Amino acid sequence: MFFLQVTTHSDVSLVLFLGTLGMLVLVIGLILFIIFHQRRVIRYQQKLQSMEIEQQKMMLTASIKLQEEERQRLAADLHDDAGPLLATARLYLNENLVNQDKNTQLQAIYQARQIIDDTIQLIRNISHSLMPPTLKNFGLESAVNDLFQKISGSGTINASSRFHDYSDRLKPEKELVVFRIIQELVNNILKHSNSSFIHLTENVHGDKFYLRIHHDGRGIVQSDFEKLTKSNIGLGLKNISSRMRVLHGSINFEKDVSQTYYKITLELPKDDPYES
Amino acid sequence: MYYFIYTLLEYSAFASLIFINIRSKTARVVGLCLSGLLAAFLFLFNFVIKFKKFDSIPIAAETLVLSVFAIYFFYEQFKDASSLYIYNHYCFWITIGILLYLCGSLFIYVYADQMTSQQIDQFWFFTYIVEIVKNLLFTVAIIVYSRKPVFKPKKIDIPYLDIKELS
Repeated sequence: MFFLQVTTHSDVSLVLFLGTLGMLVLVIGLILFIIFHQRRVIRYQQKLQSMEIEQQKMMLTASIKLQEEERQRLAADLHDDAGPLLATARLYLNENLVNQDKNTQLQAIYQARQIIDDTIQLIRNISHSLMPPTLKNFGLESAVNDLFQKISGSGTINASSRFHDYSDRLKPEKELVVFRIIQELVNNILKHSNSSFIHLTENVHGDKFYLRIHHDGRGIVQSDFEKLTKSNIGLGLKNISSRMRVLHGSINFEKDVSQTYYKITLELPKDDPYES
Repeated sequence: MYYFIYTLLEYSAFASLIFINIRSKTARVVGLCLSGLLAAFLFLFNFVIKFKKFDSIPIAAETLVLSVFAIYFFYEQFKDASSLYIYNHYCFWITIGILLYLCGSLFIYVYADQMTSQQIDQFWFFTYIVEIVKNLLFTVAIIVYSRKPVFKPKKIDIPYLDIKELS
């Protein structure tokens, strides 16, 4: 209290005036700081929210666009391939056939049967490309090996795959999503990279499941991937990004240290072993 | 005795207004402990230490404790990411009313015990000004509180049909 003791009237006035003014300035300053800081924080949060909504809209649009493309491709395959084949088979099997001689009839039936066999094979291929039965019946390892064998069989590229430890299968729904991601990545490599080999390896480390795809063509790195997923192009990559989010996994695009090939790493949490 | 009761009641009223809007349980426990200590200090000061005219030191202690509560309330509002603008919350207006009142009149109350009656008459008007400001801000708090949207359950238009009664 010693420091608060005053002796003269002017001292009291001065101390009271300065003290009260100081306290009021402090309080008003505090209130203004609180109001403006909070407004800044809310504006920033609103900006983040709108960016997230924008990103989700883009992902949804990409997903719908991809679906439409898939349907168009399916419609084109059926209309351009299956349709004309069946129409041709119908031509061979018309009512006038009964008036023809036996040889001609046999020839026509044989041709129609050949065309129908081709149509069956075509529809089987379309169905397999939509949902490979190998995946459902034998699992991800067999489906991927099958896919890579077909690619290698075309002769244009050397494709191989190796699963080191897949004794505990993933859940069927997860296997399907992983297979679609691998399909999309491989399609992108075949379309854009101009590479001479693709190699897939699978590993398990702790509670994580790793898939690595190596290729020696033109590739992208992680920064390119992130830029493309945020832009209007790169629908396939947006799809991959959405699927990885569904699996609670991560994808990493990088160039190998030796700078000779590109590596894509998929990291997924390992769920409980599936007993088939 | 009058000053002791007035200070204690004023503190209880202001502290409870801020307290009901503090969510953290730890903060409430600490606040209650501080309140208990302050009450004991007020009691001791009133009955053990004799003051001349005014209980300046208890008022200074009350201002300090209430300022701590007010700052903690603002800090909690900052942390809460889901809250809208702070001035849409009625307790914000109550808290700044309390802060302006206590901090604005602090120096007058602290020096009141040493000032002459003439000096007190000369400077006391300022306490009325801060009191009016406090009451105006409390009024704003009441208006903000009354404007809060009240949730009305949606009226269901589907009529009640008891099939058993029909058969």
